[in-house]
Amino acid sequence: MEQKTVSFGFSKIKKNKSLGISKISEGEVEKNEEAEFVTEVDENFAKSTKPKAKEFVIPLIKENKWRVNASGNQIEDSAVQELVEDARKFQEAEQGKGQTDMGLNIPLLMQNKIPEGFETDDKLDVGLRPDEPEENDYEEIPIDQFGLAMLRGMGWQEGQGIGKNNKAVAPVNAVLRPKGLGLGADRSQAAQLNDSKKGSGKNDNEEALVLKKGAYCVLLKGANKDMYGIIEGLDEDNARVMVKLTLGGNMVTQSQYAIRLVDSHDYKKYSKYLNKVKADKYKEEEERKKEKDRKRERHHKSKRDKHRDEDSDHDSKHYEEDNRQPSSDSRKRKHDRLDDYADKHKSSQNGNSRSEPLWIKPQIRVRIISKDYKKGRYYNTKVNVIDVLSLDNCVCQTDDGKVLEEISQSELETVIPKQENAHVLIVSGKQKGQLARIMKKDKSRYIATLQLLRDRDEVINIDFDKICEYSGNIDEEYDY
Amino acid sequence: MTGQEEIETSNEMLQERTRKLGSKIKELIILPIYANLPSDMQAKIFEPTPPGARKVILATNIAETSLTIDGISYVIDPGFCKQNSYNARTGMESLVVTPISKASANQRAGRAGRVSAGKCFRLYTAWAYKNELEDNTIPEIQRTNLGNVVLLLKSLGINDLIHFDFMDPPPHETLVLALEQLYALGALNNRGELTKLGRRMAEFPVDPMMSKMILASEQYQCAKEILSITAMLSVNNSIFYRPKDKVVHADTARQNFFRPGGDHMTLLNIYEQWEETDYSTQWCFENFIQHRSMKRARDVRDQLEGLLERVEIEVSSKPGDTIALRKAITAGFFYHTARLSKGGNYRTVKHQQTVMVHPNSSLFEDRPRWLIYHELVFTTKEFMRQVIEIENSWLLEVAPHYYKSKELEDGSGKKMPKNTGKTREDVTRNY
Repeated sequence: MEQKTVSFGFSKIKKNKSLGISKISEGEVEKNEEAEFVTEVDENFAKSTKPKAKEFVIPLIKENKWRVNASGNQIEDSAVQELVEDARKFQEAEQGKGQTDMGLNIPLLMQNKIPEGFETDDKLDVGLRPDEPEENDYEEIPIDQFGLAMLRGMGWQEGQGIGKNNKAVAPVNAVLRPKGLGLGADRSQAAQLNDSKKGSGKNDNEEALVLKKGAYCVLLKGANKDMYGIIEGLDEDNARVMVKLTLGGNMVTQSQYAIRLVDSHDYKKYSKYLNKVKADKYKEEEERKKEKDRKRERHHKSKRDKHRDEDSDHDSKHYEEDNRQPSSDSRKRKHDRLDDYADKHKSSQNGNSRSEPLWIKPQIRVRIISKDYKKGRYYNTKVNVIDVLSLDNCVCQTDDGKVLEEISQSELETVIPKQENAHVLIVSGKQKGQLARIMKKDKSRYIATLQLLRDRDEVINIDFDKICEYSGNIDEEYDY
Repeated sequence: MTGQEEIETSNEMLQERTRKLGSKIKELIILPIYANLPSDMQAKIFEPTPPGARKVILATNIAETSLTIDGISYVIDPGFCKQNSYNARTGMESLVVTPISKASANQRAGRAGRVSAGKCFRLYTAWAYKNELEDNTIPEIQRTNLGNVVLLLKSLGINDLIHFDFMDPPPHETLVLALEQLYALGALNNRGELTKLGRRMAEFPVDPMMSKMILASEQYQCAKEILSITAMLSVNNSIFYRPKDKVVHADTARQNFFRPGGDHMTLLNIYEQWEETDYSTQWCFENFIQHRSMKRARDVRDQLEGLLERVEIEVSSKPGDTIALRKAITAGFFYHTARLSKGGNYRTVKHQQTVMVHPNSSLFEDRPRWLIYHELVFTTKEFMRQVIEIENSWLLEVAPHYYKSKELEDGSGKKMPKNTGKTREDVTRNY
């Protein structure tokens, strides 16, 4: 509790009335507020073993102390000083605190008026002023403590602002904007790119990826997206690079934020791909499928279903083969495309953190159920889905050919075909992504009986919500 | 646009494009305007446009408020400007391209159609305007060095800086640094009183470090030279004219002015040569020097000379004694020291911040062990602009309170990068 009184002493020093004679008070004020002393006992112990750095306080000079030699007429000066003194005393008596409003009645520039005859327009006599500090003065108050000590003397506390309305202002810190980065651009993305440019040399086996002439890169944006190339030149001023494309050999210029550097290994492997992204995706799907099959295998084994077991075993072998030559057979296995679709959407669904599963797919017919979309103009209209970019951005086409963009899945509803024998796509559940023909509809129970097109022996009953009218050409998928 | 560089590039592109189009379009007059452009070329933008022709003016934010051109109908606003800011922790100034404020954007838009209907094209989206632009530009007092301001307040007898009614209060860090610098320079004593030196320094309308340098020249008897250097430093960024089509000539001209010791000596050399030609405009033109800036330097110098008389310092001269000159500079700028580190980079002595010599400096290739810089500017990197080489022992001589001899260990015995760093003989040699 003793320290508590010490910290109070600090504010009293400020009110010191011994004018002019300003002694340096090294009020060893503990930095912590009183509240901290009570709560954080441990810290207090730590302090006792290791004394804290002194907090210097230089009391505010309320009135300059003139070093006037005993000469000349000082009657006028002393008269001014007396007036000032009186006014101040009066004010202090009245207000009791006399802190901020000290100079209310005295014009600011009169508070420390220079005595007549010194520092005039004609002659600058600095005799009134003290001498420069000596070396031991600097030892008394180190330079790096001086500024804060002065502010404390003026009544400033950590976290407070300057000025009458006491508004704290943070110092401006200049941040270098990445070159060529426009307004509204995503800064974090550019930073990421910069990071990847700098810090990829961690692994010794990997080549350091440096943005320089002759480096390999892949374009991320623009007409030549996903093309590989060699950097032929750098335009540092505009943050652009000139890239010679591997395929076709054209020179293109591109913003350096729209390329990704690759090492020579990757470059050799992929640079001849026409479309690497598709190939990658394909590979990923294969991987996924393999895993799924394995799971299924295990599942069936536990069910002791021997026939299926053999089948899937065979399947997985087949997939393994595929994996060895991922690019060559992308065309061969066209009949599997629907499955791919399903998986693809599953993967995009995984990437999406939102809970709503993605059921919407191209080439199905859906109904817009949102009254908000385009002010409800298309409310209750059936449209064909053309492309699905994300959960809340798909492109649809109305029957009269109008293309609608940026429709969210939540604004859409499945459509059950009116006529018998129509084709539907299963949009959720175990058979997701499969095409089927409707054999029977039970409108009272909302259940449809379907024949799967892939495996015509299989007939299932399914909820209306899980199927949707298929608008694509069935003959294209299954020639029969 | 943000500066000379961008303006010159777009100027070239526009010229090229119009040349290709030939007679397909009507005459297009393309005129740049920026602060560093010679005044006769600046004046061209005010010439009336001939009938049938169009005038394109490529401008920095000089055209935002400082000047008004009649008959502008369209404004294209890229949304950026170069902004000066001051880091109160390191004392480093930065000149960085930043998005403009909404207030600036509106001011720019207002430049179109002053006398008739006009349009403004903003090269950013409404979203960026709403979300990325600040409402107002940060007031300069919050991003500048306050050394001079604090000294002035002190000399006016205003001691309570905390309760001074600033219109826009500065961050307290800036005040702390300003006070500490004034203390270190000896303008304030350990009680916070303004000293004799401080009062004399307050007479000069320059940065406290500069005024200390001027007052220190009394001791080294080189006030005449120091005055010229100060005047040149106060206009230093606009002395050389470097047109894009004559870069090589301009650079050679500049390099011909180089003098050993550092950039301050070079500036002094330019001023003295110009003085010898009786302040000739022709001489400036031949040497790719901006006459306008030199004239301003001369005005500043005249003013400083008057003030020197007021603080009762004799205008003495020591021609050729660069050591005295450099010691006087050191006395003012001992805060701004950098040393060559073992890695071959420069680091500031107090903050251990990596900095580089500006490529335009005469010491860019010399790499002396100890340097004093006039200012630290963050553009693409942290550059020291206007540097001189010094000897570490001078620091102990002029600022024993600021430097401990331990900090100034030369490392002469230690390994230095090959062919870098200079020996004591090199530095103290009188050129």
